[in-house]
Amino acid sequence: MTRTILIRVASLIPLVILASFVTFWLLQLTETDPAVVRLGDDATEEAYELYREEIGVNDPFLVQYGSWLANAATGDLGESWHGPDQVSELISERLSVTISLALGGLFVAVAIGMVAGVAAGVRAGRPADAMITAVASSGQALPNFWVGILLVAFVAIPYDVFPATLYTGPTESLWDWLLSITLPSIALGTSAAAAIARQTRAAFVRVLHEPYIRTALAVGLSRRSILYRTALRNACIPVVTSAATLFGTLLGGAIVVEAVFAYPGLGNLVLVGIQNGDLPIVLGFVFVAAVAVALVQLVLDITYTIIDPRTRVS
Amino acid sequence: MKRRLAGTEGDSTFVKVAWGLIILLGGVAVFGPTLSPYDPNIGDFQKLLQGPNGDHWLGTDNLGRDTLSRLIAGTRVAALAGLEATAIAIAVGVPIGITVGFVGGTIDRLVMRVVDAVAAIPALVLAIAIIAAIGSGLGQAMLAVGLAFSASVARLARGLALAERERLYVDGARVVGLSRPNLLGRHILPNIGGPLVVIATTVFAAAIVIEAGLSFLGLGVPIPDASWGSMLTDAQRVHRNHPWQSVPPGIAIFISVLAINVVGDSLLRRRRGESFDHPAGHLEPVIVRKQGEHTEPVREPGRVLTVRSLSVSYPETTAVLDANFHVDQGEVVALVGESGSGKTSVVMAIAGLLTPPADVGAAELSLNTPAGDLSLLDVSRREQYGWRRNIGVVFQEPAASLNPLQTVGRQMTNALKRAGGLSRSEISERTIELLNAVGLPRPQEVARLRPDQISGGMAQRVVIAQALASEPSLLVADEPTTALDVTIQAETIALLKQLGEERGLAVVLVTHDLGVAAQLSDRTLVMYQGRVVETALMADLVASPQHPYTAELLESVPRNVPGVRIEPRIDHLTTLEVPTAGCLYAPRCPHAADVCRQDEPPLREVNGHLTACVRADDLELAGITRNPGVGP
Repeated sequence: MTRTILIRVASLIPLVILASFVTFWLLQLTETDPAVVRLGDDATEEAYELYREEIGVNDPFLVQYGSWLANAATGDLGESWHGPDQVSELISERLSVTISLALGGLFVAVAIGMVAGVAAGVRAGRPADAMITAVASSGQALPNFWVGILLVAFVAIPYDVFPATLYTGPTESLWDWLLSITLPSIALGTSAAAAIARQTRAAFVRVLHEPYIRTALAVGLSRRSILYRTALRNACIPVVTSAATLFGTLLGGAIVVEAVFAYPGLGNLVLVGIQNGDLPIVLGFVFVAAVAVALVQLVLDITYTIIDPRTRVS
Repeated sequence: MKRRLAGTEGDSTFVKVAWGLIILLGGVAVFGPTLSPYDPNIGDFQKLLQGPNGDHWLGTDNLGRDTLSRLIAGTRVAALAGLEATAIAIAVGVPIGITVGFVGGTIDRLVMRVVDAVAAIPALVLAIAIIAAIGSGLGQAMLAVGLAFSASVARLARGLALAERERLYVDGARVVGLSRPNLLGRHILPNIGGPLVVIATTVFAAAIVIEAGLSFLGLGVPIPDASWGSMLTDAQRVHRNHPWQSVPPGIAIFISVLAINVVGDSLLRRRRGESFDHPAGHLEPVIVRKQGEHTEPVREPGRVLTVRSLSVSYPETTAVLDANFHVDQGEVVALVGESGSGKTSVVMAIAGLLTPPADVGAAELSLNTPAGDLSLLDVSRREQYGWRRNIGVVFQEPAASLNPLQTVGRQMTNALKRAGGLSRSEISERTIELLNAVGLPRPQEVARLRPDQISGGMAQRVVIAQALASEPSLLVADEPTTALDVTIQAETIALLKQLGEERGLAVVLVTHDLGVAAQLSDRTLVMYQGRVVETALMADLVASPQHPYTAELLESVPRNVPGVRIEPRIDHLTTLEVPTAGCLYAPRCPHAADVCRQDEPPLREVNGHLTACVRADDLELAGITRNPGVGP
């Protein structure tokens, strides 16, 4: 098991490095001049040149990337062009908001999606199945930020239970934090839950056509046992696999949803960064997103090897 | 077989409505400016934030602009966004995917690593990065979305190209000397079209949502242009007092994405050819109907299974018609015939495992067990369970017949628990005992293994052990040796024979292999196109067949070479028309005469056999004097 985990970790590192390389390469296509970003329009050419030398943008591309990566490995994502702040500090201040929302959304998606999908799957072919499938098909088409806007307009504002705009960190008050991420998580998770429900249901139906289900029936296992032991575990496998991709989508969605709720997350940071032409922030943001996706992927990979012992490396 | 049944008809109206909506939205996107009642970007400050009224059907926004006109303008933006992103995703993804899939090797591995890395960045995050690099705007935003999705398109295209490359005919084509571009154009591209259309709908729908999201953030269309996303930005400014402002643009996004998803799903379903008509799969077998006249079952001593007038039909075919037979304690009855003769339908019907759309009826289907007599006709689900408890079933594909996620021991335990009345220690004792009985060496170790860790022959032994768990009176085996190696086949046959004798089981064996039947069975039923055409003691059947089809089967048994499939003597089988009257075998029969084409002949007794041949008395059919040699 430890070996399996180590191998997964080892395969994710190059993925993150490659992702950062692609982003670094993309961002150097820009015509934005860091010196103008930092010093404004009216500094002297010498001052500009001095700043460019200082931050190393005159170096060859690979040298620049190499030193950025070496620093990134130690947690240093460089200095913001716009101000004196460290990118890693700016990001870590706001990371909790975005990650809270993305994980909250994932929780909503998996919890509601799996329950609905299993509920449909065990009633496959019956009216309840048709209803859940129809609702899920529609739910999948709901854009998360619109759900967020509706929740603010029709829940947060009229009823004084959930905050409409005020984010509370988990370290300040756990309860307030939960209240503040509830609506955004629902907004984020709705369409994903619908997708997971459909996927779970489809996986269930596929499993019910497998020969081992017929064997289980022939051997005399009860309907309940076949559905909730044999079929459920087998049906979970493809769903867990796709949940990693889903987390990436949710992380992207969190950027938009936190704008709906005006929460001070990474989305807000990166939008201001784009307006200012502050590319280190954008780079750090993409890097952190890729790392987060890779970490979730790792956790899901491990879950996967627990569910499906065939994938363990022995 | 009929694919479209009642369930899919409802779907198709739904899909038609979705297509209609897409065409409507496409029309609005193209002719938007001429349809628009007002200029979408010019507001009337006298009419801020109005509700729906005669002048403004959907009301006005915070700058007094007509909501309907802005929605119409937004439709064009959404359509352009979807088209651009989809076109880029395909234009970038397909060539990369096909090339690396086709070239293979190191280039493939390297490029796919980069593709994986790009795919690891969430689409919206990548879009933001690209916008940061080249500036905001609808075109840039959609370039970004297109590139983000090109990774998944590339993966798909690569997979398809690899699969196509592996296909035999492409290999053949390469040998024949088709150039690579030729191969690409003739074989690979046509096969990629279908899956690409499906993924294109996914990209299109995602692009609409992401465009709206980016415009909502201010990274999409420039102000004051209308996009469904930027309309939501305006709506949000006033949502404290005018919450309904956010409804129309949201509904526009929702409806278009839903329509595209519905169409995409229907295309996917059509491509996969999946039938969703019976989603319960194996879980809900059909109940056998009682049909024909009711007569009191005759009780013969030692009788285990009685089958009278069993018929199995599917929506467009009859799999079994009027099968009659019985099996006594300690007796092995074989059902023999070529594929499609209905023999598997017979045993699965007996086991109570046939699933819809099969329709099963019988005049009698009864089992005499030590605990009493059972019938399978018109029973409840619970009674069907009780019936199955008395029957052990051995399937054709041993590896696929075991749950891949549980150890052998765990699956044995489940089966024994259901058999009932055993304590935990008794269950583990019985597990080892049964695994031992089916000849598995070191049963303790085997019990700890999962199905993927054992061989096919071992898996079949485990399946047999499971079948014995409930101490059934009847064992049915559907082609138990077909999927196994020749030497393993012989061992498995020996095991079944030994278990049947030791436990006094009644056994029904289905096989296409007369050699296997000859080794195991006491009596044999020969089936042809769903009909039992001859029944006799195995030795008599082999020595002097009374039906030409049996003779054909005997002729095709390769002596001393067991396990070879029976090949029909006439190889243009498909060209034979099914006769509407008379003997079904007549078109293939070397002895067919006019009398054979009149009525379908019933089974009658000739020389101690039951045969469905009207000319049986006149024919001198060749048998085999000794048993066809079987076994290694």
